[in-house]
Amino acid sequence: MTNRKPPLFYIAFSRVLALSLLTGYWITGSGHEVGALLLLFLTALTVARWRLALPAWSVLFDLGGCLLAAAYWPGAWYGATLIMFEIMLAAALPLLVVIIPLIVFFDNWSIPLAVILILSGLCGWLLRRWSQDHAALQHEADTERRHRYEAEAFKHDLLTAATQASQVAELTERQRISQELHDHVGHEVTAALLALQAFSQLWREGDPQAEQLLTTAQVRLDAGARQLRETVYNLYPVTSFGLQRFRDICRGFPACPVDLNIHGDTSRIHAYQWRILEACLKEALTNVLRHASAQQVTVSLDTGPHILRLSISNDGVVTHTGETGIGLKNLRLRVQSAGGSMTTDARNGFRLVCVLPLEHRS
Amino acid sequence: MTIFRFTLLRSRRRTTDLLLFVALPVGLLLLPATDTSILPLGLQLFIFVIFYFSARMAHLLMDDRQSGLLTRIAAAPITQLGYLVQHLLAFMLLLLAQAAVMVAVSVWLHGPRIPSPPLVLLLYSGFALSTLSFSLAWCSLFRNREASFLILFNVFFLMAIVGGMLWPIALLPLTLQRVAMLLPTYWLSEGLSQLATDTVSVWLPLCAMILFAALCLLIGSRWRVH
Repeated sequence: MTNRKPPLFYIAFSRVLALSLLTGYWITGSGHEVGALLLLFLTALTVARWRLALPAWSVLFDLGGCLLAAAYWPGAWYGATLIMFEIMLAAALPLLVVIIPLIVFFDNWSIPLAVILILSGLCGWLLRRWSQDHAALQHEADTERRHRYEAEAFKHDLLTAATQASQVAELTERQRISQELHDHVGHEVTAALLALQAFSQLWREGDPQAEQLLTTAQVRLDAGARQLRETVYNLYPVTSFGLQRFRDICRGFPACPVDLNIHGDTSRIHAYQWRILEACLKEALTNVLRHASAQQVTVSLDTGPHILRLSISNDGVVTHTGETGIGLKNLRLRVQSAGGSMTTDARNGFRLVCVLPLEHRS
Repeated sequence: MTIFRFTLLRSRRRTTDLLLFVALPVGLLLLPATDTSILPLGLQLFIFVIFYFSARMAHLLMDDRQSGLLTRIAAAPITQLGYLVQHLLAFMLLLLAQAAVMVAVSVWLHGPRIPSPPLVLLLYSGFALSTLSFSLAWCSLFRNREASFLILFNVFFLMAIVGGMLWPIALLPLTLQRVAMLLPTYWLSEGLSQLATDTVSVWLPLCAMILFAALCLLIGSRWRVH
């Protein structure tokens, strides 16, 4: 984006230019003392407009100064260029009705003065239009920026909500497993245990019913084992998940061999964290496919006592050196919403490191 | 008027400044009178004392800015106008008192050589106001106190030369003579010259000096906290 100066700069420049030209005219002309006073007066009013934003009718003061000074120094009428500029800048057109007749009445009207007045008026009007356009564009840019910030905040909220939903889903699933085990397997095992205890008592007393009880216990245990197998089978996800999914993705990468190293206890990684790690792995491998002609990709997942660290690096040549892509940006937001951080390094090949905090399961 | 009182108290805090405030005018009064000039030499050179103290006083505001005091004041319920006006009033009071004593002692020493002492005092007051305002505007452009003070004093010296305070302005080129009309030194010199012949024309120089002061005050009254 080019660093253009705002219209305010050019308004100030126009005022300074008008005053400088008037000063030059006064110095090369008669150089009357009253001219110096008028110059000081007009400069003071111009500075006051810059500092205090005077109303449009304040040009009447300028006009009064010019009228008084013109009695001693006729060149004072050229000070009206500032008046015309300010009137057109403020679009205070009714003031023209007052000022133009006064200039025509008191001044011996000349073509150069008329031309200068028209030019200064035109300059003021153009700067006014430019200021209005600039203000409208600035307002639009501000609104766009606000909307963008709001959208980013909303996105962050959504990502946080998704992480929380994932955590809630895991808890719900855990509760369901517990209930399933209690309702189906637990009853059978408890019944088998009671049957075995009764069998033990009857067998010591030599009761003939002991054998029947043993058979009942075996049936119960058999039913419990069957239900346990069914429960485990029902709970097992249809698609691969977690570490298995990691291995599948690495194995299925077509461009080059992927060296996968796993360290630490991966059972401590939550489901929602697996989702994030999986997204990181996919994004990194996709980038390798698109931007780097790599010979080897190394994936390393370290699970420590407090954090887990996923590092994906390749030995390819980074051809894309521009800003971070939208995929990595979104990924970074997801990682941040889960309380972690993600960094990239493109100095030797490309390396993506994702760090997530590990919670202690209690 | 807390700031006004504080400014007065603060201006006498430094012993060297206080000594200079008294000693410099006394030293000027001891200078011998010459027959060629309108006013005694001491009263003519008094403008340099005004220059010096205007610059010193305006730089007190710069000290406020540098020390961070202005930031604290900006957070207090004090308007920018109040802060500036009370400082200006205090500074002007000190400069006026000095000028009044200077003119009074000059009248006592040189008697009828001083034409219309009240108007001379009025001219010096207008001049003090314009130099003070100029110093204020100057300080608002600078960050470094020492550099600002040194350059300002050189500028004052140039103003005195161009304004005809050290030799007749007719000796300067025509363009410079006209440029000088935009400076308060010219109008003080002009006012004092007019005073020797016609007391009515003193109002034009006074008006010019007040306009110059207003212009500089508008520039110098920007609230620059940092």
